[in-house]
Amino acid sequence: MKTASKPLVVIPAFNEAAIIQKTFAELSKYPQYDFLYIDDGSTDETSQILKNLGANVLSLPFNLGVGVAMRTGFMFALENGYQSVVQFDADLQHKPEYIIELLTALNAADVVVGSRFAGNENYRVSFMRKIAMQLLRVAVSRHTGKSLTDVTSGFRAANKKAIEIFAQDYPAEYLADTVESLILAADKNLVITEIPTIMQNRQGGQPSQNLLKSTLYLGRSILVLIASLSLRKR
Amino acid sequence: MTWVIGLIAVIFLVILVFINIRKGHLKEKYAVLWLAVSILSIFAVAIPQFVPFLAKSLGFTLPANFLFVVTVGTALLLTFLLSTDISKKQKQLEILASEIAILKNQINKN
Repeated sequence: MKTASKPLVVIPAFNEAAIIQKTFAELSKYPQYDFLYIDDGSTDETSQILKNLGANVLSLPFNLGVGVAMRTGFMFALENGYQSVVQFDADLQHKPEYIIELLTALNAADVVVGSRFAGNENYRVSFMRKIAMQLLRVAVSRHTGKSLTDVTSGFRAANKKAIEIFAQDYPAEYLADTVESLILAADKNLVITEIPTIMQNRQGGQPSQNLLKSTLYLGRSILVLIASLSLRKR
Repeated sequence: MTWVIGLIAVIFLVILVFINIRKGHLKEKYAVLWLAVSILSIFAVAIPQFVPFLAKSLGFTLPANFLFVVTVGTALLLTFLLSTDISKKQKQLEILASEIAILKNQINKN
C-alpha cells in the first residue's frame, strides 16, 4: 500500500470549459496539495483543456453525477494512499485559501464541511432554496445530533477513515450526494464538524436559480428528507 | 373464436420464452418466472374450467375480475423486479466507470 504525504484535492467538473483553465491556474499556486480533476463525462472541451494543461485528470466515460465523480475520487485516494481528501468546486466558487482551514479542522474530525452560512455575511439564496435547505438541515441534524448550518455545501474534507467509507459507498443521486453522505458518515460514527468559509460569486457557468429548478430542488429535498426519516434514527 | 386467439397467444408466448432461454437471452431468474407464466397460460387455455374454478374458490364473482387481479399483480411484480434490477445494474455500471477512469489515468501516467 502506497502512502501519499500531500492531501488530495478532488475537483469534479462537468462541462466547465468556460472556467476550468482559470480554476487550474488558481489552484496551481498551491503546490502543497495534489490535485485530481474528475471530468464527469463532459461533452465540451473540459477534459481536453485539462489534459493540455498537464493536469491530473480522470475521465468518466459518461456523465454520472457529482456523487459518482466524488466516489471515484475517494477510490483513487484510497488506492494511492492519500490521508485526506478535499472536495473543491470546479467553478471556483470556493476560495482555495480555505483548503488549509478545512484540513486543519480535520485534526479534530473525520469530515469537515465548509459552510456558506456559519458566522458569515451575505451569502444569499432564493426563498425556495432556503426552505429546501432548511428541510435538509432537519434531516441531517436528526441523524448527526448536531446542528449544521450548511448541509449541501460541496466544499468539504475527509480523513482516511472517511475516505475508506466513502470509496466504498458514496451516495450517487443528485443532491443526495452532499446530504446523504453526511447521514452515511454519521451512521458510521464519523465525527462531523463545520467551519465558516466565505464563497465567491460563481465565475462561470449557469447558476441554478430559476423557479422551476428551485421547485424541483425543493421536491428532491423532500424526497431526501423522507428517505432519511425512513432510516434508523440514532 | 376467442379460444383460438387465446391458443395462438399462448403458443406464441411459449415459443418466445423457449427461444430466448435456448439463446441464453433470459437469465435463470426471469426464465423461471416466464415459464411459470407460460404454464399457467397453457392451463388457462387448455382447461376451460381452470380459471372459473380458481376464481370461484377464491371468492370472485366474475372470472374476468380474477384474471384482472392476477395479470395486473403479475405485471406490477415484474416491473418492480425490473426496477430493483436496473438500480443494481446502475450501481455496478458506476463502479465500472470509476475503475476504468482510474485505470486509464494510471496507464497514461506510465
